[in-house]
Amino acid sequence: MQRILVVDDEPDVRDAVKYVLDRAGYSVRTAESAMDALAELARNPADLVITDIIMPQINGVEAIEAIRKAFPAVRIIAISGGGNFGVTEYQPTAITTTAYLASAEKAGAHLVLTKPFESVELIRSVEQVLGIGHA
Amino acid sequence: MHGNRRAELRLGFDEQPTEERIQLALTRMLWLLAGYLAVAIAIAIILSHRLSRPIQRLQAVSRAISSGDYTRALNVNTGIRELHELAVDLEAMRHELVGVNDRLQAKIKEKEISEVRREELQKQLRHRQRLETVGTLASGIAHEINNVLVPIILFTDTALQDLSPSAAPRANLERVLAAARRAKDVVKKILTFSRELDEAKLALIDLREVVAEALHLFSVLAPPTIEIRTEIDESLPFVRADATLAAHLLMNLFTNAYQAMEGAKGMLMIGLRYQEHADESGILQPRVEFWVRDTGRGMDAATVERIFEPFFTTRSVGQGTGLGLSVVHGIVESFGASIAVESKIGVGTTFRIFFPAVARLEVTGDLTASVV
Repeated sequence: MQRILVVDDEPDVRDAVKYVLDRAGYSVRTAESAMDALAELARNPADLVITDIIMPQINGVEAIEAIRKAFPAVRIIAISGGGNFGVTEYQPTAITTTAYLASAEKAGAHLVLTKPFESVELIRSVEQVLGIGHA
Repeated sequence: MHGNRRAELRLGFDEQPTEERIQLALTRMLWLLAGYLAVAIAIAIILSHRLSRPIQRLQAVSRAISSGDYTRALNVNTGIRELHELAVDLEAMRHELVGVNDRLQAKIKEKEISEVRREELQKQLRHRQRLETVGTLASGIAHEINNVLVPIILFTDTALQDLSPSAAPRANLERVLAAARRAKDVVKKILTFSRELDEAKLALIDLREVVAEALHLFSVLAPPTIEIRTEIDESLPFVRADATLAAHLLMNLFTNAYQAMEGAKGMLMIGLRYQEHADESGILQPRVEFWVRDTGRGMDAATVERIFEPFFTTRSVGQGTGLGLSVVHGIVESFGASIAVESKIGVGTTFRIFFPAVARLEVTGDLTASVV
């Protein structure tokens, strides 16, 4: 059974993603911060990490970099719904979801997914990154 | 006493000629005197004239100057050296005064203009700050809503998967999912627009081509009750912009104008021209002005003030997101262009966009040549 770690500071998002992936037959655990995620990965390995980008303290991009460094075999999906990430004043060009997701990709995420998504999209993305089905 | 002869000698001379001569001499003297007097008076008159004329002239001019009229020149022609010198000195002084006065007037005017300009800039700044605040808020809200939508969509669509096609809650859950998807689309609009800006590729483009293309598209969509007129300059400089975004911008403005005319009879006027337009520091800069004018219902000042704010709309719920003109504003900013609105209730609205002009159209090959 493939192991997935879901990292998001929003409990509802964590639970919903876990619920869908549990049903799809994965072994899913959750973490509410990047620090938690790194500690969890050190305790129990995972095949895939699904992480939010905009989180307090350590953001998703930094988390991805750290995971890639410490656990190079782990696959990563970045999820984000946009917002004012690291932006103190209004900059139309800096608030885009794709900007964060692009930086997540640059940091080493294997796939990026925009919030909100439907269960089918989520499952397909997981399958794609884990190399199940259509590789 | 008869015997006494008395001799009587009478001596005498004719005094007449003498008297005549005296008379003559007197007359001569009088004439001479009169002559001298006349000459003296004449000389005096002439002299006083030569003296008083320039003095009167000096007096008139100095009075004019003291009453604020510096424009009268001191043309004093006099043979009297001292007076001439005085006049020359006074004229130099007047010149100096005219200069000082002009400089003062210019300074006052400059100050007045800069005062007006500063007020205008402050207003623009406040407006911009408000837009920025609302923009920041909007993108923050977008993020929050997206997070909220994740559990709504995931739990609803998995619940639907679990239900049999004939189950009673199905219809309701489908409506929840549809509503969540609509919310997702609204949020996406805000963020898609930002992404477009993010991916904007600024290049030198000919706005006439963009206008022609957008106009073609719009004329297909617009009802025949709307008459479209154009006023486009033959030769125009290039502007630095993203053609796709520029088309997006024009379409938004056309749609806005069309909606302002409420589908009724109306006229949509579109123009492109070269113009010098003052930038933020009041310096005239080469611009290509694009304007679009409608004969729609117009807006009051309070509405015009808020028109570029995201989610600000005068339309009823469901008829517009209130994002159209904030998108326009965002695109205009990303081009380094500026936008102005004039509107009058019952008359219509004009939007003007001032694109920084780059080079004349005649330029071939090397586009960096002959910057306007």
